[in-house]
Amino acid sequence: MLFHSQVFILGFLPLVLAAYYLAARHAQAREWVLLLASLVFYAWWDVRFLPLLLGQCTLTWLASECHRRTGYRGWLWAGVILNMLSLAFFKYTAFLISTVAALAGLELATPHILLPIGISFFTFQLACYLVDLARGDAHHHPWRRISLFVSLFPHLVAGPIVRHSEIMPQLDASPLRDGVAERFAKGVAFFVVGCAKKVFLADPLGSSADQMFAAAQAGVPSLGDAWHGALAFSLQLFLDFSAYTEMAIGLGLMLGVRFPDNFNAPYRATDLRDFWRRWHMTLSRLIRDYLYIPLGGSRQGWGGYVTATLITMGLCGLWHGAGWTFVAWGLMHGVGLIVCRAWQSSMPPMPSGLAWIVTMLFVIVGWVLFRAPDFTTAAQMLTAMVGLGDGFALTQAIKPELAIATAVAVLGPTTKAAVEGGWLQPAAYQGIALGAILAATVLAVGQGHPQTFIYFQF
Amino acid sequence: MWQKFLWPFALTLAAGLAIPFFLVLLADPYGVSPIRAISSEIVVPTQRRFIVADIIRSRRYDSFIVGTSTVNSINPGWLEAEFGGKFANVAVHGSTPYEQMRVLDLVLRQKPMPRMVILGLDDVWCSRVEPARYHPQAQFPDWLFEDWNLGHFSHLLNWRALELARRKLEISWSSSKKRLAPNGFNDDLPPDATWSLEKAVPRLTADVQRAMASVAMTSTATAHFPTVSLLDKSLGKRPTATRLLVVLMPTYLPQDAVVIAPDACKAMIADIVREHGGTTLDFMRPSAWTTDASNFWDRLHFRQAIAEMLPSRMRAGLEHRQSQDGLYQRLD
Repeated sequence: MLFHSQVFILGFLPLVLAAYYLAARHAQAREWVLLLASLVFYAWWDVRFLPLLLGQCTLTWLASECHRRTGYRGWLWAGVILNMLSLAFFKYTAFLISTVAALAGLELATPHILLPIGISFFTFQLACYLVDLARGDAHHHPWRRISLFVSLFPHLVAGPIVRHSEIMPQLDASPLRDGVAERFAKGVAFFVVGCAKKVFLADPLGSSADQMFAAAQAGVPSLGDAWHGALAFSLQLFLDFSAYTEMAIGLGLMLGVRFPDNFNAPYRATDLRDFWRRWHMTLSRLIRDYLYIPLGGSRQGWGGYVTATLITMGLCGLWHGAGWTFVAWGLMHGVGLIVCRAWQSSMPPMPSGLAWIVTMLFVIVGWVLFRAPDFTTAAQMLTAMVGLGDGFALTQAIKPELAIATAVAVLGPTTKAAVEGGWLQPAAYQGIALGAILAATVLAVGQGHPQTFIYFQF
Repeated sequence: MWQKFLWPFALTLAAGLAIPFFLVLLADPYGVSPIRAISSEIVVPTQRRFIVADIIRSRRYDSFIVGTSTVNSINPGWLEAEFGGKFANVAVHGSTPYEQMRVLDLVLRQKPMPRMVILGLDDVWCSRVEPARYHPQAQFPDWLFEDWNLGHFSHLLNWRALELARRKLEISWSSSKKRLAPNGFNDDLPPDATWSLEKAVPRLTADVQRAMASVAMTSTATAHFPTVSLLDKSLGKRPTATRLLVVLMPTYLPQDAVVIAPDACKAMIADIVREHGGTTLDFMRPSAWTTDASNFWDRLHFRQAIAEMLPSRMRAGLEHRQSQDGLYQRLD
């Protein structure tokens, strides 16, 4: 069930909100309502996914419970390993077999394993909870709380990646506490803006990008087409993912929970380190805290820093997808971060306009690698982008959405600034405007199958 | 304080969805509403995939001609003159065999049962590779060909339905607006007076070359025609009292062209049709019509004179008369 589908907006969401607020005065009852709703939401994709989600939640709870009773931390590490093995099996088995086969020159049958949606997100959250328990940074919670924290439907499938410490206290607080109407109104605003961004900007750009990358699979496109495709995808990816995040934050606020921010105008970054502080922020902090810093981070000299950065970013790429193009994309960013740090520690700063252009060029080239189904397609796109392709012409008309999306991504206020920074007021005209936008969006998604979110595949 | 925002939001959203939904129910562009306020005889000219179900369900017709744009130019009135009954043309341009069978299935489910069904087939039915289920560029509303009313309602809240409702309302208020004939007839080939051999021949030559190239890419060693089985499935649902005529439509067949629809495929079709109590007439064969470029716009679409003569030939064929001039063959 997609957030911007009619069945969600007109059916699931009103029912869940009604049940949740009816049960709001009873902590356990409202948690069961949310947990049940989240499991229905997840099973809607494919009921076969449900046992895995429940199984990993139960396994994590068992590990924490054994640790609570015995004090032996090995239980927690066993839980972490089993969670990671589950992710490895479902997401990386086929990738590993095909890689081994290619390296050994063997013909091995690649198994077709159904990838449960959101597995990368909920596995990481469960594993991090166990790590925090081992570090003494978390409390033991009952099965219901652990399952709810991970499977809470607004963030279940594609984040933001939340930590138990920022969600559990909010689940304890009554959603009817002071400020309920304001939270709800801001939640509505986040949700409507995200919904409209997805339907009216990201999806049209996606169809342009799909055409260009399909053409690049067949041969080297023209310079114009290659840049058109690369820019369309760069904007689609940002708008699609940030729209999902905004809808998730909006839904959370409607339930009385504020999820962490995930984007902060990443396409305004003037260096690569700045970009990663603004892009998919909850993943960045997760890999920083649970991978980069434990690997030594920048505290062990340049050698240690380079190693930690390359390992972290390579794994970050692999987290996104089971393919060598993703690993290469991650490593490319790793190298970029190292060069950026070296430049900043030894060279005078670039003029900000030039720095922005260099950063964006690097990011866009990276997205070509990220989007291309294989290295050949990526190479053909990049060949065309440097002017060695099939001429210079634009064979597809540029949609106005490209210009609007560019303005939104580079110039416009962020949704957070608009909603929480003072623009949104308790004024009737704003309610009417947002109501009309959501109605228009619901009518737009009703004439076919709504497009899924890019990050659902991760 | 924030109630000042929330109430206008909720009311605007509710009105913004309820009013369009109500308008669609009243105008009923798809013919599925229980509170239709505008006659189903007003048919909005739009993508035929979205309107033929309404014509079929309207109960105004007891006989139907089904197929692609190759039967589109046949006026139901000409069929009525030959076969009697009340005919509607529910052909869908560029429809795939699967889409044609969805239309046929809906026709055959009608109560009271149809008096006669004519199915016009073109040579894609004899493809040796399984064609795509749906046309790649045209959305096919599968839901519209189901009988589940609740399912229909879930497809009415969208801009397309609202736009069709608006156009239907506009047509009902203004008699001058272009509308489709209630029986679905809409010959959208260019006016016959604009036809010229100089323009037609290059088009026909290119079409034939394209078709031959596509045949050359497939193996012709075996008589495997996967699409034909669709016919068996759909005709199995035919009410026994419904007269069935399957017509292999006239196609431009120059002397040197590779046979796209071989006899083995036609025989398979004829066997299935016979098994279900119908008759097959083969106009897709070399004849004075099909070998003469002056009868065609392109490889599949014949000119008006052929369209006008076809119904009488169909009737002759149905009445057990073999063609004296070789224009068709009855595949018994």
